[in-house]
Amino acid sequence: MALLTATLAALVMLAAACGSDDDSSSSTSGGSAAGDGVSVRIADKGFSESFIVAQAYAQALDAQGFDADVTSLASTEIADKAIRDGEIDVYPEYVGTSYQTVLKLSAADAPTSKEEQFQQVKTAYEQRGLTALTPAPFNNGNAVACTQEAVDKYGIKNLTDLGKASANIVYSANAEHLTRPDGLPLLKRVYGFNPKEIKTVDISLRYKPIEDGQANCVYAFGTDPKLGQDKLVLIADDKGAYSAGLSYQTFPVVNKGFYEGLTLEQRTAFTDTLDKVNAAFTQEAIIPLISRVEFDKEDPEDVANEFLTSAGILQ
Amino acid sequence: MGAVWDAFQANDGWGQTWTHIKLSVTALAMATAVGLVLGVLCAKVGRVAAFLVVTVSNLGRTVPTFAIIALILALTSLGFWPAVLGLFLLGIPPILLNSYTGVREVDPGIVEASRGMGFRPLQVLGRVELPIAMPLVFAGIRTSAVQIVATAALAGLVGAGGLGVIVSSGLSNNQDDVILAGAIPITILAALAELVFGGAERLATPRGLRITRRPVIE
Amino acid sequence: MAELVKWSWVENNLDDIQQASIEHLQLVGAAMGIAIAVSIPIAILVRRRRIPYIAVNTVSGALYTIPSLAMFAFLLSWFGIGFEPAVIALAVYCLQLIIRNTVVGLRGVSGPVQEAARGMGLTRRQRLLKVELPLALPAIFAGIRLAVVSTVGIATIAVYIGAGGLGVLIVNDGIQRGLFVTPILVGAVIATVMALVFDFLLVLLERALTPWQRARAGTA
Repeated sequence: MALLTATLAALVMLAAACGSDDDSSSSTSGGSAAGDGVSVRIADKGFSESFIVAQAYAQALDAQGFDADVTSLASTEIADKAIRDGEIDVYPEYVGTSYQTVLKLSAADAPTSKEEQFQQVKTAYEQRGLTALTPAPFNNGNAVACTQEAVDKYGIKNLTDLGKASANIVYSANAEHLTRPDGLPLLKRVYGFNPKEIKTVDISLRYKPIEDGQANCVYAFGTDPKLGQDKLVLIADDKGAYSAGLSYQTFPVVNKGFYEGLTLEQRTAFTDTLDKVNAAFTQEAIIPLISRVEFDKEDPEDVANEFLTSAGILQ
Repeated sequence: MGAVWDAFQANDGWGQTWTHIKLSVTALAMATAVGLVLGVLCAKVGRVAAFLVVTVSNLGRTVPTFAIIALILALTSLGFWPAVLGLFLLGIPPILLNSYTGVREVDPGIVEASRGMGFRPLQVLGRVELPIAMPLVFAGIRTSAVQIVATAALAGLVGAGGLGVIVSSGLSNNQDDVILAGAIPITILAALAELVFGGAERLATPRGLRITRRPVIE
Repeated sequence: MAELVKWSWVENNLDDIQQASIEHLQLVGAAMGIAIAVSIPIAILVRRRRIPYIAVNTVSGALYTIPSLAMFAFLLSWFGIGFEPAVIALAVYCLQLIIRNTVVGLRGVSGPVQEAARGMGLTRRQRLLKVELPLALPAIFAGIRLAVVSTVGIATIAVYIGAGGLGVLIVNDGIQRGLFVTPILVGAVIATVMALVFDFLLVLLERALTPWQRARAGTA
């Protein structure tokens, strides 16, 4: 009998733990401010820069009285599907990525002005039930980076040379990149880049094969601090087809239903907050932040918090 | 179905299948060697070792495999050998437990009789105990083989290649064809492993023992 | 090997650790609840029918062979991200084990016992509820115990479809932050402890529900 009671007690405690609502927001939400405790579900795409931007959005919104939480998603497609289905409310995307991967438009047909590209994306997104808010200044383009050794040995001065040296290249990239229209398929099609071997890794680990000496080229982002640390060379885009022509500024994608469901006051606070955060993300500002997360192993939450404080967005 | 086949070929399906097989076979071979030897040794040492065997077996079941692979990855590097190490650790418990039990359950009368016939300890082991334990050992290998093949899919998440890479690609890009192009071969390989080792298990069971054999790990 | 555990991380992230653990419990709890609620009735239905049982066993077995990552991936594309698709995937993996063990347990009730029950005038339903199921409990519990332990393990992958759980620590905080060992270790340890605790609680529950077993000496 005692045994039975003990078991039941344990199960009850377990059930209580299961039933309790978890407090998921990372900072205090002052319900009196414009946000009124409205819940905002933010997502990131699973790599350092994305973590930082999403955390910055979350903390700034929390300070305005919203109740934000962040979920990590595995890829662009998953994030796009999730936001259209209304399972998340906001996530940071890149103009170029929206252009080529989500909307499947060709970079060759893109307008030259970054502003026009964004407007094109914004209009197309409206028809998909999504709202696009103002982008941040920093530009995080896609690139290929190779070791100095590979560049010297195979005479790689630009992407066309890279294509010619394909048989000597071991390329490190994540699964999404391998089939994304603006990823490896584009490099293959335009520059004839067909690496001898591909190391497929999680996007956040793409530099590890380089560091372990198992790969000599990698799918790089313009803002990667590892470029400097690992002494890698960004390969020039001689034909301008690999993202050079596209803007890769980050902007918040918002679910339209969520956005229009806010009261005027909430919507203004929401938009102004995200605009302020994005305006503070300049190229000079973002790179050291990524560096601290990747090299110093600091928490993206802390890094975002300090950034917002120094930008005057958080007190 | 055609689309799945296309996806398979477009994503280096044959190459990844070969890597998957290499990962699985290497891990299984290592797990068998270590599990069998340790199991027999523990059986000879006696009751004390029983505790070790049962604990290792339990741990093997309860520690999440994915966590083990992630840990090994974090402590070493990306690639083939870290993944093999993780799969090897996963594969040991069933083989260890079954080898231990198989040898211990040999009828002491038979062992006595063979000693009486002049067999030295090593001969008793090689000619009497091991053959009798074989069905159980093969059952353990069979269980490990299937688990290893299925779990090797996770190796794809930590840069070791294999069919898991294709599944993860399909997951990222939300493409069912690609997911199938990775999942179906894994399932086929697992079924093959089941067939091969299940067959070996049956072959190794002498007629007379087939009815009385009680599997310890199913 | 650099310091394995950065305790400062643990201290600073207790909230996240707690949230991940609770999410994991919810995933496992919901999945087991669904699996048991679905499996036991099905098992009862097919226990005496050879072909239906073979069909059920084959289908649930086939589902079991689908690699977990693929299963999550499919459910993602059909149901989207989050808790529900993850729970469905986890529940599906338990079906074959629980159904099979329940059927074997029910079928294992010996002839003489059935006869005696019939002789006492019990209806079919009464026989099922008062005789067969109780006697099948050890086998059923064996299946549930194995299922729970494996579910705790597989649930670590649910993070890949945005379902939360301890995988958040292992993947988002660990692997994706430059292979940070501490969160991976924390996630692994908590998951292991969780599995052991579930197993232990189930043993206790089984003992409580089968008092007649204690009378039998030395049963494992």
